[in-house]
Amino acid sequence: MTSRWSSTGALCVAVTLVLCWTTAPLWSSQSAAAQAGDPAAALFKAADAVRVAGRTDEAISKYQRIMAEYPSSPWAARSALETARSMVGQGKWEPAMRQMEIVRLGFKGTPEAEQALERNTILHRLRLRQGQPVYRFARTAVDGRALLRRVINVDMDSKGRVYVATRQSSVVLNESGGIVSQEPTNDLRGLAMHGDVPIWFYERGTREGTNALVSIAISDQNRQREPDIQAGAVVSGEAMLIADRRTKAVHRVSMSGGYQSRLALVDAARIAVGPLGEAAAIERETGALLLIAPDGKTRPIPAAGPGYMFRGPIDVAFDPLGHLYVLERDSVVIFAPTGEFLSVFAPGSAAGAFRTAAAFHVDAAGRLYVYDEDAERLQVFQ
Amino acid sequence: MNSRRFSLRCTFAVLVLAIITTIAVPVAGQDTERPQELIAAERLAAAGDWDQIIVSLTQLIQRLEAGPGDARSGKLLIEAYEKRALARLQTGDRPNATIDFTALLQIDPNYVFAAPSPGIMNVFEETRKSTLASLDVALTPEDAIVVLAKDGATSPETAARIGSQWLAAGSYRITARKIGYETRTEQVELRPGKAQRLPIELRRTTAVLRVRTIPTGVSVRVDGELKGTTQAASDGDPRSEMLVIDGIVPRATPYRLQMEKDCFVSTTAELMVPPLEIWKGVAAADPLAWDPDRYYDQVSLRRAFGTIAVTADQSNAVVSIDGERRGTAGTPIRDVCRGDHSIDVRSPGGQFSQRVRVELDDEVRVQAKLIPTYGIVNAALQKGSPGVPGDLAAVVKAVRASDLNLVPIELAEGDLASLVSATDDSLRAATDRLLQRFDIQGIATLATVTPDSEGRDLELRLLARGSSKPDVLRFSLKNETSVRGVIATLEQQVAVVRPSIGIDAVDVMRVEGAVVTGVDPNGPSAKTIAPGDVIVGIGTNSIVDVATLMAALAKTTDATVSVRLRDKSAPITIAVKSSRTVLRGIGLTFSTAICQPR
Repeated sequence: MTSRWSSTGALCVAVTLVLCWTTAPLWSSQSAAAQAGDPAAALFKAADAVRVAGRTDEAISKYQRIMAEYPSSPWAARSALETARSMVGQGKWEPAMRQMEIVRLGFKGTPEAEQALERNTILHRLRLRQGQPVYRFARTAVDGRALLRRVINVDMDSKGRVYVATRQSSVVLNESGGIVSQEPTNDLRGLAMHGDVPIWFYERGTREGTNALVSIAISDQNRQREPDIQAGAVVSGEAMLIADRRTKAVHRVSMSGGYQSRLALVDAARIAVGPLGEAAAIERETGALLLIAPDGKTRPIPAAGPGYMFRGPIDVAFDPLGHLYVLERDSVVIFAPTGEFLSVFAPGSAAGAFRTAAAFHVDAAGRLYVYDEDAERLQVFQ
Repeated sequence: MNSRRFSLRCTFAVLVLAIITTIAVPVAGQDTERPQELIAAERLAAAGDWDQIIVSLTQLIQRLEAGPGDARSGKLLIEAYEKRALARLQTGDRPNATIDFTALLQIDPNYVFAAPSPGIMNVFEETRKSTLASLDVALTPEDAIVVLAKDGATSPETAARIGSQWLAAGSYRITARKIGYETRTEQVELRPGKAQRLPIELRRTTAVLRVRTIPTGVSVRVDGELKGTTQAASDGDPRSEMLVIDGIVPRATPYRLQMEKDCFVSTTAELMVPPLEIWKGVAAADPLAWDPDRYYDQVSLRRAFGTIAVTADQSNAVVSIDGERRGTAGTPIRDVCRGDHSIDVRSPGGQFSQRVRVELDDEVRVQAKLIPTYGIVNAALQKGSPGVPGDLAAVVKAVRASDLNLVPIELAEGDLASLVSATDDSLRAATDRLLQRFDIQGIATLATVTPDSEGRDLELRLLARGSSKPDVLRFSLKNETSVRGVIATLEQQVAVVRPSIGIDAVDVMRVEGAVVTGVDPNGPSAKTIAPGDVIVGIGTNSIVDVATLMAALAKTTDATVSVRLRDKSAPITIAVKSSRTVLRGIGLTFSTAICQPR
């Protein structure tokens, strides 16, 4: 039923192709991946590169080529997903949903099929569900009581564990809110996940999971200086971004802590990185919201526009499709990857209402985990 | 008196020390593998053993003179003669020292001798003046190249100095040349101890064209004749090396200069080469009047691209141009070089090819109708199998169908045997391997069989990708009706008919049912179902996701279905449209299995 107008036109062929994928082992090469050099992987890398460079049509063309030429390769599923993500980036969310469903039906049982379902859920919530609140309160994930005060960041791993960075401690909680570990500290500044491993950002360096702290040296006017880290984020597992108060800039460092370059002169209090490597930052003194492209160019998001007005952004996050979520004290403002304003979620006095949000997390299916400072609760909205 | 003797002793001591130093110090720049004799000479010089030095160097000279006579030997000989001459002077043997200097100067008449004393320098220079001749070449223009060759010598021409130089006496052929000028050759007789002046003036004969291009690899034609191709610069300069074209003689009509490279816009220019006379006015205001050469120092050629826009009747069709994969159908390829190109479009279901001509900034539109291609083999190739006598191509021509390509292929005996004898899975695997190898959609084998009641004596067995059971068609080339029947079957199109209610739907987490994302504006659900609706039931079937919706619709045989939507109390009735999908050119029972349509 994914085929548009039920099997007329080109999409029917696409569905046929999907089924070809499911039967692919019968007739295709044994394993494209097993071939020397894995051309599908190389092509996928090339497609990713042009996508990151902003040449989306070219990237889609390359992804489609992988799907056509290496239908039985694991890269075909990833290519179909990336095609859909690219379409979302172009504002073509309807064909993206169909593409996602093709992945879901054609690659049953694979992680990509699961991701396709999650992403269609995001698009359904943000684009398709008309006349209804974008989110509904689902549950309280963590009752912080006196435990979680002055929360800076909240994040999760794939097993549902909740990681919380506060001004006083790093805390890990299990799916039902029980404490797994808690470590007091007074110089914690942020948190970001690298896969399922938390990267804790301290004033002078980073710590991966429970490893030792790795100091970071910032290059400033040809001198090595200790940073004064305010926030941090992970760029697709390749590098980290740190917001340094001393140089009032966002810097790029390797995952092992080696300094790479200064990305942008932005004195950021919070920072998040999207799926294409673009970053969003809240400026520390002005509270202004800025987008930072992978090449360092910055673009402000207006403080007010049709349908929204920022009163003081608290935190920022991206979902896997590149939608940008901006947390305010009592609401979340959502923008499309194209920059188009989509909606505001303000629970008001409804169940789960928050008025003093301090940090939030957006998971792979677009669910919101909002920590309310006064209520001392981490609440889930879906 | 004493002081004079002391002074003479000192002078002598200084001279000896200078000679020792000259002999003992290796000539700068010489290689490290020095002959033992030279090393010994250096050691003996420090001890003042001049006789032994002479003996040692004589052995070396004899060996070198009997050697290959290469450049290294020449250098060593010069050093050996010089040091032996100095040693002989030290023993008072001036005649033999002069002989050594003479031998040295025959090797290098212009040798620069660092004499340890003015007296020894006098001996050397006197030897030079008495045994060599001096030649003073005065050249116009001064940057012309002069080479000389001694008559009777086997060595090649060597570049000569401009101005005065020493040469061994003899007869010489001196050639002066410069591009754009006539070449002159002079014969001179040089005598020992004589100086000779030789003025050479070259006459301008042609203009020289110098071309440097971006990009490199540009062919340069003059009046249509290829004169050369610009080469990449070695220093990384995007401009090419200078291409120098000689022989542009003066004439009244302009030359037509053309620079061209594939995939770039050619550029042309007209080049006037005025009469020679006006080039003589060096002081003329117009530089062209005194410099006949023409410089095109940075000719930039613009890319000559056109666009090929391919649309195909199958999705995800891969487009190749001239054998190189360039993208997929539906996405215009904008950087196609101007010229003729072969377009190949392929999908898992078929192939298409066409030749097109692309013009600069033009767009060529190609509508690709992809049809399956089957490789056909003659089963007679396998020993013992009933094959087809005669030309396979004739059979292919006879049964040619518009919706199925039959292309003769050659298989190894083992491959053919696996096709003929294998069954089911092994046959499918064997077929698929071959399809992969030939990049085709199916394999056909042709064999002779015992004629049936209708006289059909040929059997065509077709195996599609993924199929283990061949379609078998019988016909006879003598029976036109049977041939037409084969063609009709090959062209038959399989229609896959599926019930449809004209919607798109997807699954969403925590939503039970199929979430509608799109509605065909001309379909049966246009006014009753909207994007965002959730289908939770079809007839008596509960719909929990897209898969159950598809299954329920597939079972439907009625003209209408009752559809239940979430959040709507009453079910709605929707007409079921029979939507027909055509799998072209695969109208055969088993060969439809490119993949099973849903």
